[in-house]
Formats: sequence, structure tokens, C-alpha cells
Amino acid sequence: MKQTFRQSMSWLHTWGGLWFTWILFAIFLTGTLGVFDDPISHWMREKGKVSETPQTTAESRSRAVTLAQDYLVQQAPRAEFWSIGLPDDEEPALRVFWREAEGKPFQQRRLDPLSGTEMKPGSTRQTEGGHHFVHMHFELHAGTAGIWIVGAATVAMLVALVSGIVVHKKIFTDFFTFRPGKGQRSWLDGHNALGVLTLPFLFMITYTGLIIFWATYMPAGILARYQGNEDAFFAKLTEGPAPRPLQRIDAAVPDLVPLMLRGEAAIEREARFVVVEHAGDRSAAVRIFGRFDPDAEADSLVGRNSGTALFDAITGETIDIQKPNTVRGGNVLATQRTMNALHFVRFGGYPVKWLYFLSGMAGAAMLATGAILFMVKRRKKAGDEFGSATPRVYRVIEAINTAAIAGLMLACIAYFWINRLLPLDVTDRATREIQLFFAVWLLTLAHAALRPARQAWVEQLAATALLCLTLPLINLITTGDWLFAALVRGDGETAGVELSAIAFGLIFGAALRHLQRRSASEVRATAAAPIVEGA
Amino acid sequence: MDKHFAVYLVFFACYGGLLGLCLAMNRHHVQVLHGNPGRPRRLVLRLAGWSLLGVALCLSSQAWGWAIGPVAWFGLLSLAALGLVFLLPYAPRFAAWLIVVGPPLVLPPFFL
Repeated sequence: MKQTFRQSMSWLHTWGGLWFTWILFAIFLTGTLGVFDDPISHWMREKGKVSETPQTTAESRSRAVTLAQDYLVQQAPRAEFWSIGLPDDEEPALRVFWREAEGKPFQQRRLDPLSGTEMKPGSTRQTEGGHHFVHMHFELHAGTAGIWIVGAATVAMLVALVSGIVVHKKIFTDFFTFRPGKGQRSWLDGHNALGVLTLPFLFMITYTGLIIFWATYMPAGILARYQGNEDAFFAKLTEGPAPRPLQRIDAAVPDLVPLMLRGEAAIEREARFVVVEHAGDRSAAVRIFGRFDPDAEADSLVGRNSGTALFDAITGETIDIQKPNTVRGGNVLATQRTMNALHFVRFGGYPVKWLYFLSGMAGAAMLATGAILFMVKRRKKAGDEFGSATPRVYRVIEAINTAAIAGLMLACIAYFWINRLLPLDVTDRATREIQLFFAVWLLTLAHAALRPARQAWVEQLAATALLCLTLPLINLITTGDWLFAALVRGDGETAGVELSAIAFGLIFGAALRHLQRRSASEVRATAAAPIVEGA
Repeated sequence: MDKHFAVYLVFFACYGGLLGLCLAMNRHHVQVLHGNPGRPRRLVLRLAGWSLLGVALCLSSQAWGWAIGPVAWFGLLSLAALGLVFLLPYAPRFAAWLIVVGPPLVLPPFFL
């Protein structure tokens, strides 16, 4: 078959785009919500109602570390690692994590920072909060397999961006063009405008997303030169200390408080995490992680980090200090770290976060319009891509489209509702919330498969709009806190979450009205629409 | 420069710049002002458009520094463009008037 370059790119864009668009939409939508993971966690943990958070002092941190250490010595005197998360504004509990050895299960408990006793389930609203969206975004809650799937989709996104530019015939003449009310033509215009106008953001976010996991995606060098030992490779790359192998000589971890205080003094930051590697062994090392300060050197993109200090746990000897916002390991690593910072928006404060949020939503809308355009085109003039099975394949694509776009949006807002409605004393509450999120998403797929295509879209959009608009109401009913009170006390994070939900509810409501008005005049409009090239 | 004020300035500079480039095209000149623009007018609009985009980049880098400034500029440029493109077909005259009415309307909160 003879094809021009543009025709083959068009084929690539259509089919490569279609198979990956569902997963890319999920990545874009959850990643965009993840820009505001802290405000979302703040809302979900009802932090707005706590009038004042106790100031953490060197004394309170020391007491917390001592309590955590006592607890960990009892639970796991020998462990691959202990990690102590010190209380802060967002998380008042003292958290301890440990794993006895590689391959053993990862353990996690929440302690009272004053008494060191385990917190009873139900005493606080246990939730992953906005973190759920971030994990969904980069690994689909599927660990390394998820990271690979997301990586493949990201490469597909880059392919779709480049092929999309090739396919777009009139990128400059149509730069400012959007023609509404013309059926397929309008979907194509919308898809083009959303894509072209946010192109710098789309390239940046997609490429930097890929670069974050370079060591996972391109392991050949590390496998060949370092026998797959990533620790050894990174120690060399960052000019850091060599990894410390287990010596298998028993040695109790001494009091961690003096090391924590020395670490804080060395990096000039409060400690956020105190980690003990190889606890109980002679090779034990203590690493102090500083608290992230978004305002420090806020005009710099290079090396946004919070500093670490590493000590030999037994002798107390200083092994390594890295001050906050510094880079080690040469220009290549500095470039990679800068790209990480670009991807994570760890700079610029709220104005830049909002720019990322809106650009990300435009990107998600671009993906959604692309997926919808595929079906709009074929509803009008069915192709014959799958022979006699074509109508059935179209039906499946239509159902997945609905569930992947409207259904995921419904599941995301349902996650907020689940957070408020799930009883507090459920065991593993945070995990249950996420399971229920996936349950809702699966239900939308079943719904989309059972209902006629248009009905499925309308009903799922209506449910999403309703849940968005009434989010402040459910918060008022379940917690007694409401939007007005949040505004009065100047709690922008709580109010921001609810106002954004209302804004999304209004957008979905407008989309619904549009859909219903269109259904009346569709036949006329599509008959009048000109034949469209490309897509 | 206050970052919120910078957002406001850069956004409208970008919007104005894009509006200039947009009106320099026959299709959109007809849509907004009726009739095709003459050659001198097209040149002026283009020149003004590109200059405003350049001014926006400088303002943005004044506010955020040359590392983050361009990132913020690209973001605001995209937003201004999306706003313009999706406003044009529904309210073409308003899309043009926005560059005159918009800045003073949004300005007061900065001086309260």
C-alpha cells in the first residue's frame, strides 16, 4: 500500500493514540490533581478544623525520636531499616516504618508523639489523602509493573505529540481557530487548540516524567558496570559514601537524639525523617532528612532538596553531609534533578502550581477530546477496520471511552465522598478508601457496557457533576465544617478544594446541557458539517 | 515584584500580544472588526503582538528570575491563548475589548 508520510503518521496518531489515550487520561487527570496533593490531604484529614498546631521544638522532636526508638527496639531489634517520621503540621502522629529484611513485609504504625503508645484506629481519619492521586499517576498503584506501564504510555504520548504535529495540516493558519456547534469539526478544532496551545507544557511534562525513572527504564549500564547494584552506582555518581554491607555483628543502636540534633545543626533544617539502615548490626548508619522548605531559594530550579546528614550509628562518626538545595555529581545529574523539579513543581509557589493545574487539565481535555473524536468520526461514517467485528469493537471502544473519561472523573470525586462516608474505625481504612475508588471505577465500566452510549455519558457526567457540586454539603453533614467557615478562618486549602469541586461541577453541568441540546439538533448539524480531513 | 501581580501583568501582556497576532490574520480580523486588514495594519498588529509577548517574557523573568520566569511565561501564554481561542467564536467583540476592560477590572484587589 502506497502511503504518504503524513498518511502513515495519521494512522500512527489515530491508533497509537487510541490504545494509550485511556491510560494517558488517567495519568494526566490524577497527576494534575496530584499538583495539589497537600491541600487535598489537608481537606481529607480535616486539618482546617484544628485551630492551631503545636509548634515542634528540638525538645518535642527529641522526645518523639526516643519514644519511636524504644518502640522499634521492641518490635524489630534487627531490621533492614527503621524509619521515623516526625510529627508536623499535616501529620500530628509519630509514624514508624520498618522492614526486618528484604522480601519481608513492610510494617507501619502510628504512635502518639507524647506517650509513644499505638494510636487506636478511629481516633483520626486515616487516609492516603492526595497521595493516592500521585501514586495512581506514576505507578497506577501497581509498583514496578505500574512504573513500566506508565513509561510505555509516556513514550506513546511523545509519539502522539510529534505525529500529531505532522498530521495537523494548518498549525499556524488554524492557530486561533475554534468553530463550535459543528459536530466532528468542533471536536477536531478543540482537540487541536488544546494540544497546540499547551504544547510547551505537554512536551515538558511528558519528557521530564520519563526522565525521572531513567535508572529503571534504562538499566543496562548499571547492570553491566555495577552488576545491577543501584546503590553502588548512585554512591559513585553522587560522589557520596560507599554502601555499607551488613557485617552480621550484633550492635545495639545507641540513643538517636544526639545524632538527630547534630544532623539538624549540620544541614540547618529541622529533621523530618530519621532513618536507621541495618538497625542492630555493626554496619548501622543513621540518616537525617531535613524538612522541605518551598520558600528557600524559591527562584532556583537546580537541586531542590531538603538536605541529608549521614552518621555511623555506632561510633557517631560523620559519614556524609549534603546541605539543602545543593547538587552533587556533575552536570548530568544536575540536569536530571532540574527536570525532576520541573515535573514536581517544587518551585514558584501557588501561582505556578495553578498554571500546572490548568495546563494539566487542558492536557487531559486534549486526550479526552481525541478519544471522543475517534468515535464521533466513526459514528458518522463507520469504518471497516475490524471486518465483520467492527460494530462490536466500536461498542467496546465506546464503553471504555466512557468509563476511562467520565468514569474516572466520577471515581475521583467519589474518592472524596468515600473519605467522608467510610467509618473511622474500619481496619486499614486508607487502603479501603483506595479499593473503593477502584470499585467505583469498575462500576462505571459495567454501567457503560450496559447502557446505550449516549445515556452512559449523560448519566456518568450527571453523577460527577452532582457529587462535585454537593461536596461542601457532605463535608458539612459529616464533619460540621463548611465552606463559609473555612473562608472566614482564611483556610485557603479547605476552601480551595471545595470551590474547585464546585467549579468542576459547573463545567460538567454545562457539558451536560450542551449534550442534551445537541442530541435534539444532532442529525441536522452532522448532515451540514463538511467532510473533515486528518484526525 | 509580587508574584500575584506578576501573574496579572504577564497574563494580560500575553493576551494582548496574542490578540495582536490573531487580528493580523484575515480570518480573525473579519470575525472581530469586519473587513480584511490592510498591509500596514497587519504589520503594526504583528509587530505589537510579538513585542508584547517579548515584554511578557521579560516581566515574567523579572518576577521569577530567568530560571523559573520562562516556565511561568509559557504557562501564562498557554492560558491566555486558550482563553482567547475559546472566547473568540462565542463573543468576538468581547474577546477584543477584554484587553481594554480586563486589566483595570482586575487591578483594584492589588491596591486594597
